[in-house]
Amino acid sequence: MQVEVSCKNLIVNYGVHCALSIEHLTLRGGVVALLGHNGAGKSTLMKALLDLLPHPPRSLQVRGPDGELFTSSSHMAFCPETGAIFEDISVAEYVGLWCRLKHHDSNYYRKAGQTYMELLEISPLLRKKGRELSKGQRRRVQTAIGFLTKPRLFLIDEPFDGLDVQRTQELADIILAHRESTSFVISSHRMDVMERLADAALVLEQGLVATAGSIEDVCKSLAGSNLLITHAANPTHLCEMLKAQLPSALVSQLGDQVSVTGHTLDPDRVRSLVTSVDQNGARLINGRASLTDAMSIHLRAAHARAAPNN
Amino acid sequence: MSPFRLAFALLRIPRLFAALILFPLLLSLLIVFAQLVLTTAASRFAAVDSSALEQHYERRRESDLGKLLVLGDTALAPLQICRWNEVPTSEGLREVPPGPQCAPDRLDAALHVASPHDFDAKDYVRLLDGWVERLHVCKSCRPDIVISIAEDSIRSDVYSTQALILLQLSRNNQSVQEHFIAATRERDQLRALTGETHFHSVGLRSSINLDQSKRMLTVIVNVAGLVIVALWLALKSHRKVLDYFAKNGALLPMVAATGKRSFYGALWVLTILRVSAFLAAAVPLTLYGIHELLDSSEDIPVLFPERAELVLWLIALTSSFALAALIASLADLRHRHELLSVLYRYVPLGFCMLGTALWTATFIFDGPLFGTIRSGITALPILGMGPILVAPALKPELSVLVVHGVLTLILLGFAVRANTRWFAAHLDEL
Repeated sequence: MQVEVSCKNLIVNYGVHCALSIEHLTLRGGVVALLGHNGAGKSTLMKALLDLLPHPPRSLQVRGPDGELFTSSSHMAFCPETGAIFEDISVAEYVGLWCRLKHHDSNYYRKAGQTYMELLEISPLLRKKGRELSKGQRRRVQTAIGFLTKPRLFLIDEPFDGLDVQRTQELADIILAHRESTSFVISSHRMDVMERLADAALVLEQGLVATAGSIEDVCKSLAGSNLLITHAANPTHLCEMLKAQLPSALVSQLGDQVSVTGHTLDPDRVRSLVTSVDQNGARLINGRASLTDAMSIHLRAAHARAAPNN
Repeated sequence: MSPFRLAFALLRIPRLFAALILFPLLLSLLIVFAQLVLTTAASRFAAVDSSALEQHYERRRESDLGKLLVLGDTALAPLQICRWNEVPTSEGLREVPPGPQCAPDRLDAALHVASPHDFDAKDYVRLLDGWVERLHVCKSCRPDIVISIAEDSIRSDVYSTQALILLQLSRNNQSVQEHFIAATRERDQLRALTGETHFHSVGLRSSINLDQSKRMLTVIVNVAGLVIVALWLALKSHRKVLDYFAKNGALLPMVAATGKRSFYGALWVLTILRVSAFLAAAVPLTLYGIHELLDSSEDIPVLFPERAELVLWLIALTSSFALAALIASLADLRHRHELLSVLYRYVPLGFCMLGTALWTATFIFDGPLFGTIRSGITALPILGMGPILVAPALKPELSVLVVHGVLTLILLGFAVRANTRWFAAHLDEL
């Protein structure tokens, strides 16, 4: 399900510090990735979407596919980075509380919500107290609660942080399985997973929008063009040489392929450099930078921009 | 979502009910009960006259718990004095009691003196007669009470709790009690010569009956205690509930899912429930305690002959404490990141103490100017909190109570309106 996030002149200050300043934004997507360095304004934007700021910005709106205006209490669910559960009550009581609030039935999770309880393996945790849960388990509980409340938009802060490969895969599968009925706004540093999940992204830098749009547009905007070199005789040697010759580009080796990404990339120069060390038929293909590479370039540039200020 | 639904959904979890309502309620009731017991005891002690003292000592003689515990309910025989002798043995001189009737018992007393046969023990007979059976005068015998008398010092060594109780009781014996009763009777006679004392001062609506003011102060302390605990539950606990949610990380998802208005509405529902439950239990308890304290001829109407005065006082007192608590709470919130933030809580208390000191100083001087200054201080919010607290005893003009109440309520409304966002300060931080 696609939602449209829009705002005009959105400014959020914490004291004298400007946490968010967005002049204009319109973004559509089913799974929207919120990306950026720590302190870029991702959590503040989530709070703004959830109407959790002391002075809620009126221009910020989320609309469903039929143009319906979403409100946090009626259409949204939220899972914070730390998860959330009272330390001194059991998981069953906490889940029951949410079910009573949202479905008027504290046993809803045992009936209609059983799927989520099984998918996120909550059943073995039901008797445990909040304080007995690990951070990952707390997050799983809050994620399950989010799905149980049947939101139209589910905002999740760092859902993959601290999860092992298998759990990351499982959570990603659950999100993909629900994308028809639920939209997601996910803040994450796991670019590999977000590239697989998201169809739109918003990249923030120091509270400002660095870029926004489809994943492809975002990658292009952040990283420029990309060349993929295949069939190289010695990809490692080629990679080292290109790194030395193209300091402004991001050069990385992916198995027997070499990826070269950069805003000022001259294909002819790259071709001549490749030919100079490999005359046995290495091929150059125009590709697209991965989200991981694009964000690497962006963060490197962001650090460089921030360095003089520090 | 209705705030009531959210509040009652939270309270249906037993643990949350205990943490949010039950424990603070029990603690508050315990505080009020302890305060009632202490003030009642203090008031009764201050109001005691010679006949009451006589009755009290009579009751104690008949059924003193300590005596009953140690000696039972049979009276002891007159005190027997046993002066020990030294007899030669193969190991040297040895002290022995003068006969089998003087065989030492644990609950006897002993006087350790250098020369047992020459020592004059009549003062000790006066002290211990009726409390122990035998007084051993010896050099080294050792029952549970041993009084060692040297040339320049006297000390007592007690070797059991029962013996300690007996020694304490003996120090307050019938002779001492009779002296106390005689002194109190003398004081009562002197007081009777002057009758009730009424203090007059400029700026007071009527004279202050100093004899009645002790009871009045007990009523004031208990009513003020109720107001303070209720406000503490309302304001401080409102923050506690927020902290409880924030500490568990449940604040943001809960507020997001229910909406800010509903969530904060639910917090106020919980707060009102706490305060209502407290008042429902504490007001009857306090009224009962005050009624027990007053003589049968007296009643609250005697202390508050004008109902308007009681109502005005309650309004002025409650709004005054509410304003002080609100300012302290907001100051604490707004400056919570500063090292000395804790000091901000005491700013209203500091102003209150300053006002009370100035107000007290006006009694030293005479004249209409100081009466006006006194009324002016009483009428001011915060500065006049102390004088307002004791207003039923000191009878300021009713107009002063009205001005204080109105000014305080205006300031209270202004403070709440201007600082609403600070009550949600947690959201800034999470």
